[in-house]
Amino acid sequence: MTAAGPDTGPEKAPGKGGTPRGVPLWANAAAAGVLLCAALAGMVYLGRLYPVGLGPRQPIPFSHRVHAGIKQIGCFMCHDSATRSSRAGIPPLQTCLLCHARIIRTYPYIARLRELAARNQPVVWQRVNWVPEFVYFDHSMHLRRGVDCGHCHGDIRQMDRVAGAVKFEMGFCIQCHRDNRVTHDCFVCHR
Amino acid sequence: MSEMSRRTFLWITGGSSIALATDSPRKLVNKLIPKVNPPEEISPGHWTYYATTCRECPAGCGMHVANRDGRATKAEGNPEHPVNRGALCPRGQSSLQGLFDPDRVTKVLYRSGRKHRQRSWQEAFDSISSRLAAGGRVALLSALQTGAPAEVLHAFAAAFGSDRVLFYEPFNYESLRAAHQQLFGLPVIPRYDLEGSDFILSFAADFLETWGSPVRQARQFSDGRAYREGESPTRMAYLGPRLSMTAGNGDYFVQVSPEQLPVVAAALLRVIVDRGWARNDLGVLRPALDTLLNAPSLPALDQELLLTVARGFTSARRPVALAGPPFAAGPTATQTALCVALLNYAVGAIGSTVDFSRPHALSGSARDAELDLFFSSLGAQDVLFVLDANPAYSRAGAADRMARAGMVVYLGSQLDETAELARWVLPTDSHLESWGEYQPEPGVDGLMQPAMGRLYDTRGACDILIALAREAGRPLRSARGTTPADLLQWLKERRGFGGGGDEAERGWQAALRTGGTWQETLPPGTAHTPHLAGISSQAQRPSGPARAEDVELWPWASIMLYDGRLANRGWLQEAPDPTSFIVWGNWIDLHPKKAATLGIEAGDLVQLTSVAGSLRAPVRLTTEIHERCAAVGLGQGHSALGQNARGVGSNAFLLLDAVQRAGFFTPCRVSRVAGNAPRPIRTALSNDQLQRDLLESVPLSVLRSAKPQVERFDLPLPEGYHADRDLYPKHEHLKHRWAMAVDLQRCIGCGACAVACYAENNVPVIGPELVADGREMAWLRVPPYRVPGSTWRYAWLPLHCQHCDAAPCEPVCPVFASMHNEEGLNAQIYNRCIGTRYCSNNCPYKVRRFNWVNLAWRTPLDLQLNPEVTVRQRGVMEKCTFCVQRIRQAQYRAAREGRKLRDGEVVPACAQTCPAGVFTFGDLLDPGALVTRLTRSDPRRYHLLHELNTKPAVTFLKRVDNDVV
Repeated sequence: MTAAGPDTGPEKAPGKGGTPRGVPLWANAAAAGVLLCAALAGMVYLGRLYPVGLGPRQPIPFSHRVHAGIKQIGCFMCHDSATRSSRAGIPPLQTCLLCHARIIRTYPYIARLRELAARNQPVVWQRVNWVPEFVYFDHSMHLRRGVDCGHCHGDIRQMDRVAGAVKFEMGFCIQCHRDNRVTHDCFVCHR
Repeated sequence: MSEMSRRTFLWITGGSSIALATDSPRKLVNKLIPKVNPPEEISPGHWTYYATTCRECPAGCGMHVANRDGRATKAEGNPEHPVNRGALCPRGQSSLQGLFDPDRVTKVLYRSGRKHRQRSWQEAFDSISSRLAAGGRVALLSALQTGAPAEVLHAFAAAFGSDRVLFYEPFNYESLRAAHQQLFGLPVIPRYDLEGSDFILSFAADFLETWGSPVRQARQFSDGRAYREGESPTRMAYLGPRLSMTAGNGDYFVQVSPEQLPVVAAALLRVIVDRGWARNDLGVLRPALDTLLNAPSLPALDQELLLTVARGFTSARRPVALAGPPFAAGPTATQTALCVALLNYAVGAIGSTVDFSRPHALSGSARDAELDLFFSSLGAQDVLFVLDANPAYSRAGAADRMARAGMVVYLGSQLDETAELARWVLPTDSHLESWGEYQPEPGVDGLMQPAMGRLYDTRGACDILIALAREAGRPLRSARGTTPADLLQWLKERRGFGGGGDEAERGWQAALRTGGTWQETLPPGTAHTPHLAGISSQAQRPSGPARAEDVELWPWASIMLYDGRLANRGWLQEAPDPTSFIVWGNWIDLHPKKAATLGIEAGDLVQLTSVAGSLRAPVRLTTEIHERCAAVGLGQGHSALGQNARGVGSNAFLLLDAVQRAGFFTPCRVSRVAGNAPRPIRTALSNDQLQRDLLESVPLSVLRSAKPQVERFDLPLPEGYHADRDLYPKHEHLKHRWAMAVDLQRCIGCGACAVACYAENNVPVIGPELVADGREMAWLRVPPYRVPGSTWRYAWLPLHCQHCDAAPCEPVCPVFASMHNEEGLNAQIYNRCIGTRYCSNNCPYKVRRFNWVNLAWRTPLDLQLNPEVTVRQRGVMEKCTFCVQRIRQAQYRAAREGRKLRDGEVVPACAQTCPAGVFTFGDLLDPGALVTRLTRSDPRRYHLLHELNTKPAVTFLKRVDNDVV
């Protein structure tokens, strides 16, 4: 051991930078404890808040927690092609304006949305859930079989920004297909 | 470091460099862009179809263009259209490559010197309209237009006090129109109806390829040829110098040099008159025929064959005689067409199979004399507008004449030879981006609508003219007295939908949805009587080749390239010629005897010289060409047009000038230039079956005698397995067992299926060098094979993955990338494939293709890619999937609608486009399916290479040799 230096404790040099007078040591300890607890509580809370992470930043901070969670709007209200097409579809701006043409019109981001719609410009969203280009997934077929959206997309009602709840690897798909005794044909997803 | 051995060092460096070199970039698009206001009928993940009219040739077939996410991805025939009934030819399939052509003109260009500079639309309009205002005379040359676009062109010329509007088509049927003018007083191309025709007599008319309305004729011919119990199949006799695809389909082939074609036609006519077989009296003609036939240079003809043909032709119920080729002109060609028209008259075909009351739109195209006058009238005062036509390429001498015009304005989408001459090049919309209409014949009124938004800053050609006239202060006035703002408005007004009311709008939408309007049942044609009195003929001077090197030039139009306007399309360049199976380029056909006298050997570079010009090309020695001729394909040899077209082959149009004036066809000199010509690239090396019996046929008499056949036939089902023969276990199929039946009797070899497969399955075009190395990627090929026992007949074998039940490719794959799926398909899983190529080595049908290189699609060709099919990368094996994406779509659609799949609901791309109805696709587990009936009980069924016990899912139906007559 060679690291022991001459100045190893603050009490040996109280005049230089020790505890300021008037604040007792226990108070510091208590403050540190409170901070630690708060941090821990915060982590627990945020962990519950964002169990699968925060998700990428989107051009308009649309919150699924507010829409799908608090307001309890159904998935198919906006993602209406999910039941009849391979793709769930990202709602067109028109869909947003179904409500927001009347409610909360002045909130800056909604004002921006209305402005984009007026200019006929789309919002370019960041993609979160994707499968590789050699995989062909069909939403309508899975919904027909009664697979819940949350099975793959996680509890979207808990997410402000959408984050990938499940890693879409082949094992995940196959596990579910195995559990439900459905097709294992390669040519269903790969073609 | 010193401890590292040389071996370890090499191992690490080698391994890491391979890892670096083979890392292919992953394409990941992580943006999602929704629509702002989605159109109601469009939903993501679904195709939307737009009905339009194909303008790749003047036949005017109806088309459905599939649009996915705003881009057109596939063209298919419109099933309701009376011309093509859902089928398309290779050219129609390739129309998407015209839209997404990387070499399209994208900007307004102004030429100063030899350079093109970019300008704005306003600058172009200002310059051209000021030129017009300063007294420029308008001359307009356009590709064939009818209806509203034609009205716009005429109105434009009229607005500037000119009547010089011509529709330029290199294939203008000059001789046919001249003959009909002489005989009937009608300079038109009648409607030839092959429906139910039981004897077709073709004088060098390639009616299955480029002559007339090929898709309709192919369908009618195949329907007539197909084997039906109790009915005798249509017979066809072909007389001409070269064995074309059409000729190869015939029952009789008489090889006649072009110069002797009219003589043979006359001889046929005299046989008919002499024997009293004619249904209309032609006795008046006898002296004229006698003078023609008493000429000393009468060809040695097989009289018996002539008699057979004449007998078959006259005894048929609905005979028809056709005169080709479409670009023929001159006295000899006209005389042939005249004799053919008389033959039609003799058997009473005028009014039934030949209908003059419905002339083809091409009858409105410019004739040679008109073109000569037009070009020679061009002067410094003229502003010449050229729309989508390329006379600088397809008419010798036109380029010089056009250069004399004061200003040439080119409106088109390709920077072709004519555009390079032009002062202004104004980019126009492709046919799939613009409004328009086209009537190929009276009673068929096809509409065109944009199948997708514009790719570039282009405008419709007619819209440009309308705007230009407005700019110059002379707005165009339609025949109804209105001044429509654009072509769309003009179209609507012309069709009576111009009011803007609800009723009009509904009618317009309905017309757009069907793709136009047409009469379903046609009134019977009217029989015209020819003026026989004025017909005389001069005896031909014996003008046989004086010197050994003299030949008659026989240019022929290729089914893929038509008149050369499509030469920049990779799919068509890489699609093999139906008879020679040559891709990317052209060649000179020469008879071996002729070649021997001239000392020309196979593989030589040969020069053809006519009065008009000369060309060089590699020679192919073949007996398929008449001894006195040299044949060369049209459509290649562009000096502009684009990367795929430039420098490929040589341009035979440049030899043709003298033809159009002098005779049928140009005398030409052939000479050897060098010994080592670049070899024509072939993807099928032999058309001999080498005793393998790939293409089986059965005599009609045997079929009629209904003898039960005892041939081994193992179904691709569990019942096809036998414990004594089969090593591998059988496959149980629970829901479906997809299978196909291929009727070889119907196949005419056109290759539309192969091009459709390229379009549907993202098959890459790899270019001539790689094809020459044997790396072609076509999943489906239609190689020609000689019919055993015949020296000239061809039969075609459409060949793609056979989806064997006991597939040789499956057990050899070490990673299970090639495997049998639940529905009987032989699946190739790309992401599993590691590229051992064992499967390909073990495949007896040689239908698997390996990706040797990563191929990039030149932008914007990648926009055409089918989003439902994976784009394969280097190192991956691929092959036909029976269009599994279409199977899935049909299954999902049925599931969503809560019903079972219907038979015929799944149609692979090849079956969809086939004009001849060769392919039948369906589910073998469905007892009511057509494919089940054909596979289980058709007397003509057989499996290709069945001795290998692969139990293919593709059942071929044998050809039928018509020995009954």
